Amino acid sequence: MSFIQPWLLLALPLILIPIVIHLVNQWRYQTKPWAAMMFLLAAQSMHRGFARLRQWMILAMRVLAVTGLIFAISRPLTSGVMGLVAGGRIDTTIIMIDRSPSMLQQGTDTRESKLLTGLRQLRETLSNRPSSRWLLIDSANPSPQEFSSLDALIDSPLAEGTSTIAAWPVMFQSALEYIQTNRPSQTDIWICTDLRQGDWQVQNGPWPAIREAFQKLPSPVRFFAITYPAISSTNRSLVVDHVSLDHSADRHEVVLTLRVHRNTSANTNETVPIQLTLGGGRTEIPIELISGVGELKDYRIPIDASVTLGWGKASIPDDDNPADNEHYFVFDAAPDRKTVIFCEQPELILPLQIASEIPNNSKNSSSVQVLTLDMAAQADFEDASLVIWQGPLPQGEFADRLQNHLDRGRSVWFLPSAVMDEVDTVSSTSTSIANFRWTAWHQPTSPVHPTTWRSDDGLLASTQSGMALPVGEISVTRYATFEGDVTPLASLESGSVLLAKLNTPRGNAYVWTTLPIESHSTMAANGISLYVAIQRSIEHGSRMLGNAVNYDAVPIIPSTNNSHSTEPSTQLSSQAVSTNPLNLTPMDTWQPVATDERFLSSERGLHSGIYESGSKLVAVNRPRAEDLVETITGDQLSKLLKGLDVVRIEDSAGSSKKIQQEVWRIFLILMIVALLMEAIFSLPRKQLAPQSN
Amino acid sequence: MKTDGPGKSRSFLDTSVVAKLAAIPLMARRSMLGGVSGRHASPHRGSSVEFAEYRKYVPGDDLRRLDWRAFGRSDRYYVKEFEADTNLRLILVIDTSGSMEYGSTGKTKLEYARSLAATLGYLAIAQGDAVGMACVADKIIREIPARRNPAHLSNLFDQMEAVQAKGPTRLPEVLHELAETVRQRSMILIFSDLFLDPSSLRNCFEHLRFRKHDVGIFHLLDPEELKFAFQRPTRFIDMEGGTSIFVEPTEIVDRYQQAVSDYLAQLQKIVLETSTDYHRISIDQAYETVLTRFLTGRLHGRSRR
Repeated sequence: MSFIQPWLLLALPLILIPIVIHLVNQWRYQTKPWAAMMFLLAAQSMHRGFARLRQWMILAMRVLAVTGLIFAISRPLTSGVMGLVAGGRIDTTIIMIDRSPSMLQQGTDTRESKLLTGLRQLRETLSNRPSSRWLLIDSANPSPQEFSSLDALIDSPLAEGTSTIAAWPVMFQSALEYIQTNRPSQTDIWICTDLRQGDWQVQNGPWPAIREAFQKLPSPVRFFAITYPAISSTNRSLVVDHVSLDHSADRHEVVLTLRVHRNTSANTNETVPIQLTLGGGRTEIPIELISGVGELKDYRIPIDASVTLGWGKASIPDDDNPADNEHYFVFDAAPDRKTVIFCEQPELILPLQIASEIPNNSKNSSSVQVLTLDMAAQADFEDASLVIWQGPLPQGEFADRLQNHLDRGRSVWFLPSAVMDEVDTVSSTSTSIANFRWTAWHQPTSPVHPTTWRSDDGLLASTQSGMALPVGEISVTRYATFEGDVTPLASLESGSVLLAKLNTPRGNAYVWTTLPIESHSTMAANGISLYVAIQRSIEHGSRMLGNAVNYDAVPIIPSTNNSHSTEPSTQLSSQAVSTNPLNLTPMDTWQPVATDERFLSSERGLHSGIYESGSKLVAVNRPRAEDLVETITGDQLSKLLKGLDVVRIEDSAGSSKKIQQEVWRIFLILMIVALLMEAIFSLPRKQLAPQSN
Repeated sequence: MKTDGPGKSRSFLDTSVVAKLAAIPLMARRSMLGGVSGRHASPHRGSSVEFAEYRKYVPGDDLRRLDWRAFGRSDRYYVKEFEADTNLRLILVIDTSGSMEYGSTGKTKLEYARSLAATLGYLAIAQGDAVGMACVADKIIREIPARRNPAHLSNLFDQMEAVQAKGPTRLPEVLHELAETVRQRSMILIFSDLFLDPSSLRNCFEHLRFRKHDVGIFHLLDPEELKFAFQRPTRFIDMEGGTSIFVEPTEIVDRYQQAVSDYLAQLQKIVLETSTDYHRISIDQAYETVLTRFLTGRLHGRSRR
């Protein structure tokens, strides 16, 4: 039980008042000489136990009455009794629901998911809380959508589970914008969440600004957070890490790498059967989970030689969360791994050209096109996996083309101009890509080496066998500095950055601060790191080529238009697809190939499955962040919403108990009953008629 | 001013009450054995004008009592006998245990008993009866033999005045003792609150009845003892030296009254079965009324020999 005004509980010692009065009354006794002692003794011997019980009951009733009063004014919240209304009619009730796959985790006993439990409890609770307007802000579509009634909202397909993550800062922002625009007199916001760390973005989310904006609202806003933080220890999740098509002269196979992960690593190992569905055939493969993790690496599934584009599905048996038990994938013949290099002089980038030309796999074909900067305007790099730009940062139309290239999920490398004067000249402007610009060249007195680099992720990550790249062997004798929004991947001992990743919404843009020539560095001489990095960039960029698109479901990006629309879903869907970097048709035009047909057409991209988008085959899956089970604590949530009127109600999936709400009426009734009982107990005993002769 | 004689006042004797009650004789319910002639029936034949019975003549009988008319009718000798009138011995038994000191009406039960006893004693002496007294508690505290001369009254009143209520009650034992020591066929009036087990009184009354005494009981109770109308928690201290009890009166009043009711019902049954002249008196009543009721009641029950 929690309290809206818990400080009033400080008055609880007042329950001692009846006891003190009773004791004082006892102390104020009179002494009287008495003759008829035999009657007193007889009376005391008759039913003395009940008389004492009655006395204690009176005292207990008085204490109970005071306790009931104090609890009633403290405005308790409990999950016990439903149908109690906290106050008057609410002007606007906003329900924010996490529809992410993690919310589909089921309760152990009832097999009811967290999402369904939350919706049911919301229905039971809010059915007694009249509201003029009902709005839904869900994780897949964070734009407010108005419903005529609570039931219509709860029963809407828009409240069902999706494969997208939940971006709570975006949802809060959406609610804030609605309140700022429509200015309701009183707003209750009900939050249904499983408190996943990735969803709440504790570190990166704009929470201070959101808090401040809510605090500045003229009308009161109350938050009721129903949380389901419980994690199933027995739940397993399946992810297909890589899929490719091996079409050689004698082999026609799909190569698959997948992982199964159990939420908590148990001491005992287990074997999980994995069912692979491909081209109408099914294969079951047992995989052993050691300490909760099992991997099936480069598993080959023979297919017909004529198949060049196809799809499949991997699944594991049902467990507590059915939403993470399957993973769809599509495959296509490997596209040409094309690299386009723009440079001031071809000699400056010769090592890059060589590293790009050598394919990492004998089955892949690689091609490199080297162009000078003055040929950039006429260059065609639509089908390139990687674009390398060495020279002053591009401007104008070509910069926009590069940005588009990035938005389509491909890779770009930037290397500085070799000429110091030109670098200085260009540094006065900045490119539109992450506001990046070069500043100056530096030449240390002695060669410097990279001392720190990201070995867990990115271009310089360790190999799959765990071996680190020999980045530290690289000597740098000349490097450039820059300004911009970047994430350093490798730093020199001087503190300057050697390699950084530009923070762009999509695609992979990297910056090297030196050139792979002898006068600048030994990147070419110690070419392992350079080769691995360039092949990784090509590999990533080539994934976006071809007709097979493996796509992580993302929420629909809310419109920047603050005004509330009655049909936000359509607009947002269109807008989201218009900025689709994958050159896919709008989601509502996607044709489902293998998915649940119950979904709204506008939400097809939000649910896992296989879709046809024009000539492309799209496999939509949940983002891998959804498989991370870390949750934020209640304290963290309190800190995020500090200063706001928040009531947190923790529950579990499948719970049959009702969620918390104000129950001060119960305590008021309790107090009245206690007073009535006290009055009844205090009634004078029935007296016999006076004795007469 | 209340007096019993020249120059001496008695607080417990109201002459006006005595004057009012003087017209009503104190009568015994059964025949008495007195020493002199009086107004009470005697078990023996005497020389009064009231015919009693015929008896066969036996040699030695006074020939003057032979009924010649009966001889003429039946040819047998009969002696005509008449009732004898005698005085009575009135023994006033006053309970002087500690409980008699209680009184919430401005007068204690002992003072009330004094008034009753003194008035009755006065009336008895006035009609020529002998009056004695026994003050009892755990034993006979004071005992005055019955005498009929008016000067004896002063002694009686002095003793009444001097007695104090204290100590426990052992009334049953004392009554048994009195039953044996007092001459048969006396009138014994008991003034007590009778805070005793009623069953222990049954034997006493039967013993007194066996000795042909005319027993009367003035059961004196204070109104507070009947109603128990206290409000505040009270520590009750036993006036007869027993333990004290802490009581919440409102909690116990119903059971107290039940106990009183049970006790009185039991006592009532005993006095009926032992033909005892029982009078339950709340001491807030005027004692004149009580005595009037007592005396007039006896008028109707007289002449049993």
